[in-house]
Amino acid sequence: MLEDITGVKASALVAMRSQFAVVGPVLWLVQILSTALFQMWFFVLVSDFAGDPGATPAYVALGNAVSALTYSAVYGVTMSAGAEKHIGTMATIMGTPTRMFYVFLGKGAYQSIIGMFTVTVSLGFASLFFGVDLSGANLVALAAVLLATCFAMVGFGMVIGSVGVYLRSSMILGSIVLYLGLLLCGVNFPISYLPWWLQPASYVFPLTFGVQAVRDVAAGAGLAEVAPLLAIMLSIGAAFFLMAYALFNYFERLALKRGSLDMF
Amino acid sequence: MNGGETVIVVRDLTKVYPAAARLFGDGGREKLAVDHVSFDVRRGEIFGLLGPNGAGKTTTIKMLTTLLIPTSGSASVLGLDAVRDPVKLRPRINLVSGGERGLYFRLTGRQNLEFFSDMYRVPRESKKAKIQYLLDLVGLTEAADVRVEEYSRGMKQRLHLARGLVNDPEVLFLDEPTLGLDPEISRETRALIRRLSEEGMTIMLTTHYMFEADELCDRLAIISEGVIKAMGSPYSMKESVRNDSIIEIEARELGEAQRKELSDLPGVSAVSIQFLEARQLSRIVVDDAPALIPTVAALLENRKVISIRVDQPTLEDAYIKLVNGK
Amino acid sequence: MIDLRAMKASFKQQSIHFFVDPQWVIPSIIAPFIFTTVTLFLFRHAGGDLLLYAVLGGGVLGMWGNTIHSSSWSIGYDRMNGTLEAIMVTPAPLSSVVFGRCLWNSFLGLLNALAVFIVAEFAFGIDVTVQDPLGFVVAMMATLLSLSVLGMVFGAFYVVTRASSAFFQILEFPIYVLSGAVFPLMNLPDWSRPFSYVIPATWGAEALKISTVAGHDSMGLGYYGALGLTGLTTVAFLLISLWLFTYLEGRAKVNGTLVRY
Repeated sequence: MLEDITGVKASALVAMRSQFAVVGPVLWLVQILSTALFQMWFFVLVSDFAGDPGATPAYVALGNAVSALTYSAVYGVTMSAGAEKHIGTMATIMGTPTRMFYVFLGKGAYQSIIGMFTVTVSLGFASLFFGVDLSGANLVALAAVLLATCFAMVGFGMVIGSVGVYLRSSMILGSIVLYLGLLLCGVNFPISYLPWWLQPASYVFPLTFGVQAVRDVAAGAGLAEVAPLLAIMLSIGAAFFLMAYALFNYFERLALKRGSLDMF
Repeated sequence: MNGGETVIVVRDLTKVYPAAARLFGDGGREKLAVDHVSFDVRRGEIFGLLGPNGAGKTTTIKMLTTLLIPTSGSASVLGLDAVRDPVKLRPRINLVSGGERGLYFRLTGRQNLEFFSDMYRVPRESKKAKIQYLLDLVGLTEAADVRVEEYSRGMKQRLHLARGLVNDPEVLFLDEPTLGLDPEISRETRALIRRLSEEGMTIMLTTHYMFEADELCDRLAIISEGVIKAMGSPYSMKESVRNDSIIEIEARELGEAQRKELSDLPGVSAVSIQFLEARQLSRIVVDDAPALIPTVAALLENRKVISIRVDQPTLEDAYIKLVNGK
Repeated sequence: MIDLRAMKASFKQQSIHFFVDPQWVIPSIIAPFIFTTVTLFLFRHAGGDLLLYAVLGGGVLGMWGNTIHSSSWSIGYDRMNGTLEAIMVTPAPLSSVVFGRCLWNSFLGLLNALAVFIVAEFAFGIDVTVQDPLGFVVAMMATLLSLSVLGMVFGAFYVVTRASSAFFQILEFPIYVLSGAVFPLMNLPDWSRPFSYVIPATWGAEALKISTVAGHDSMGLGYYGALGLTGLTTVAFLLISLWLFTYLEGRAKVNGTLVRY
């Protein structure tokens, strides 16, 4: 168990160092923040032009602020498998005693920190520029909801990332999931706008619960009121992590059989 | 085959890599990679640049092939300045870097060659036949329409060579052409290089394999830490150690301390230690091997010596003397 | 200098990459597709021309999204692959190689436009009828070309530093905003207009809308005015990109950064 924790830490450290080897911290920060800001601004402008009372600019801004978590927590983790294959380190890692699950857990841990930072700043943008009123929000409840959302989304990202051990497609899946949330998770408009047959798909994404919980907190809900949503997200997250553990083992064996570790 | 005409002229070529630019903090130091290097290469010869990793071989070759701009000095190929005339020079030369990278792995071997043929503006009428000829030449006929990602290392290297010949270059630059290849493929590659030279192509190659330089090169330059230590034919290099003899020691527990002790013995020019699986092989370049053996044996009496013998000097010994010697 | 043969070869090479593994186009087109679909949902109660507006704008964003991903990735891919030096040692100008790839990728962005049209027609019941079919096709081609050229500008930066990927990501969404593709430019703050006006996609989107939506002419330029400005900005960026390639290749060759990925 201790060795696994060492593997998790080592993986997180490598993730951080690789990130800053290509772009320095300042440029990286600009990249993260401008992406969040302009994405939010785009949808705010669309919503303002559309004039739909069910999806006001503030509604859209808040949703997009929370969805900023997706980039790190889901996409960042999912992309790791493809990145390891790109660089050619997947096979090398598989040859070590550390299981792939723990390697990705390390990356997930690192991406969680990035994600929490990004969503905090995005909420700041939403509040400063786009009319989101967080003055009545219980900060403890807000923090709890964001952490639970991050937890569940990293688990989700690891489930998708496990596919990347075997197939080339994790980067593609990651891209799809990254943006699908904007459509399905109540980020830009209520889920009720979607066709009835598509609505159940929204509840596969942890982001759906996270966005709803943050909206409730912004409207004044306390920890007790959002507890059910918190419980759902923690349960889903735990289930995703368990699923990821099983899937990583399964796909590792398949990849070794097929010899697809180096194929990207 | 050596013609009289000089096709590569390098004078005081120097390359200092700038420190990396960073918005905050120190990006590191400048690095002197090539230091006032000068040499000539004649038409039709195989000229080698021999040296350890990090000696400046690849940097030198990149400056000659228009991929790197020198800090100072001059480099001309076929009478064209490599910095000022890249557009005129590129159609007449080619560079093969080899290795696992450098090919489009999702394309087939044939598609890779088609792409690069277009990049080199190979005449359309002859392009298809030319590609087929090259695939046959390097033994990739059967695998021509298979994606490169499914090629073995040796196959990729052969495709690299084919790509290097797509424009019938007058001068072909080869950067470590047999690196990582098995002996059979390496032998085939060297045979092809020799054949190309016999057909009149001028070839400049870099390598750190002594036997390869010895076998292939008409002339070579030994480069270390960016500086040319010696230049001449393999024969003349071996002549530099002709009057030396070699003590070869096979032992266990030899290390840097022993290398230092052996270097300090009288008459010793250079000492190398090669680390094999569970033992070390050391070669001492000395002016009188038989006379020194008792001293060497005494020095190493607490080490697990397997054998000590006297040997004839090779190019490798000349290299060690030139690169590492006192 | 433009080398047509090199452009054609890289266009073909990029297309082969696509057909070998078409799924790889998804990361490039998914963002604009989703953005446009979300926009359709937000506009749905308004109906009529507003939805058509969104469909056209979505097409432009689709072309842009694919261009910027692939133009930057084009050189990044060569870096990763180790083929950047292999290309640069050939006589073909790197700018032509990148241009060929950008053209293919912008063309592929049309797939996105098609996907958006299909969603609009069948999921939202929008009647996508074009007022001026010939004008529409010309405007579409002009927009495609202009976005390819813009992609070249970004590709040039990638020659000198792999950190350019960060710049591209920084610039992708601002152009979604500043081009005014899915909402009128007048909705943007005054200080942002100059940025909008230099982007070819702004004028291309306007020309498309004029040729499609009856009575639309938000900037009072008319179709030929918008088309002309598309052409003008395209030529300007083409010249900038050609100069950039020469300058930045030189920088890369001084710094020795062509091999780093």
